[in-house]
Amino acid sequence: MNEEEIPKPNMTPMIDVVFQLLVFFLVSMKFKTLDMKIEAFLPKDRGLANTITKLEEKPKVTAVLKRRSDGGTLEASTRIKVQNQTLGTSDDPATWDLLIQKATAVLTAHKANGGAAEDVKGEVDASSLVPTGDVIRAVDAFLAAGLKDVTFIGTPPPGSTLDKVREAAGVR
Amino acid sequence: MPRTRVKNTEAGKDVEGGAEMDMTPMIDITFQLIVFFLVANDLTRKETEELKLPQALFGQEDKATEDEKRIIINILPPDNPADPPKIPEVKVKGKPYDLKGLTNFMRTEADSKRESDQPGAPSAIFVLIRADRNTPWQHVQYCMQVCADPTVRIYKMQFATTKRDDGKASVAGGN
Repeated sequence: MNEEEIPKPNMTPMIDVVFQLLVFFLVSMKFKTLDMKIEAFLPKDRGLANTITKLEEKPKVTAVLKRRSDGGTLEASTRIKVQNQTLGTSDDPATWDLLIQKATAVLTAHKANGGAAEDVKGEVDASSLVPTGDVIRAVDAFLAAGLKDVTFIGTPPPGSTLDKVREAAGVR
Repeated sequence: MPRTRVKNTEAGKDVEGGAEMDMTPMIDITFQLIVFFLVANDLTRKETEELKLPQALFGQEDKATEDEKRIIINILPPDNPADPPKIPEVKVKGKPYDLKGLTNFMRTEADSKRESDQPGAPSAIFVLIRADRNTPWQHVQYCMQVCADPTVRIYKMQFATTKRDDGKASVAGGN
């Protein structure tokens, strides 16, 4: 049989379709942007009683973040206090600078008294309506000041096992 | 497909020439690319939801670690931030959970890898909390407390953040 007579499949339409598919996927695919992360560790103690009754003697910087909803309208920005002193609102960059300064001051004073930097603890007490973005920014400010240990203050969800443990321990 | 016709002058006949391109490797590679895009597209959408993550300067790069077992909890922002629902809208691997469902799910996952064989030992798995920057903090707290539940005991947490999109090198600056 002559070689020229062997029927060969016409590949052109298939290659056309395959390239169309390739171009579609290239254009439509949204590449995953690399996320960042902040490591955190919850208390390993059993139950809550140990953690709650523990006497803290180490210096700490407490940032209180509050945002209220008034008549169905959420306040435009979060109010921030540190060590019971009002710093300002979250939309003002100077507030975050002040937070870093306050935390740095506590850390510097502790180190000047011969203490270790790791002793100083940051505490974030955010009210329920504060956006997560502001809380993480407060943590970021503490990290910028050189604090390594940051904790959150909060209450367990209603009806949870944790809630029952607190109830049994008489903690409200 | 382009074909070259070479004139065989000696015989005086037209003969099919040997300058034909072999398309097989190209088609192979193209199919490989399509399979890659199909698989990659599917995987990235399963684990993570489309969220505006909180911005942070001091976040570490989230490199995938194969030896660590990790659960990703996505917490979606409420439609009305002024009056958010009591229960957070949580999705794990694309599946929505309420707090009770999440506790049961996390308990099963935590039991799969405990730090020791002792009953009630802390779990060795990691949890990455991916909360939108507009999610109320209470919703994130609820999820953290699900992990801290005495029957779950997952304590290794991570908060997903993103780089500052305004390019500023200071914690202060625009949100």
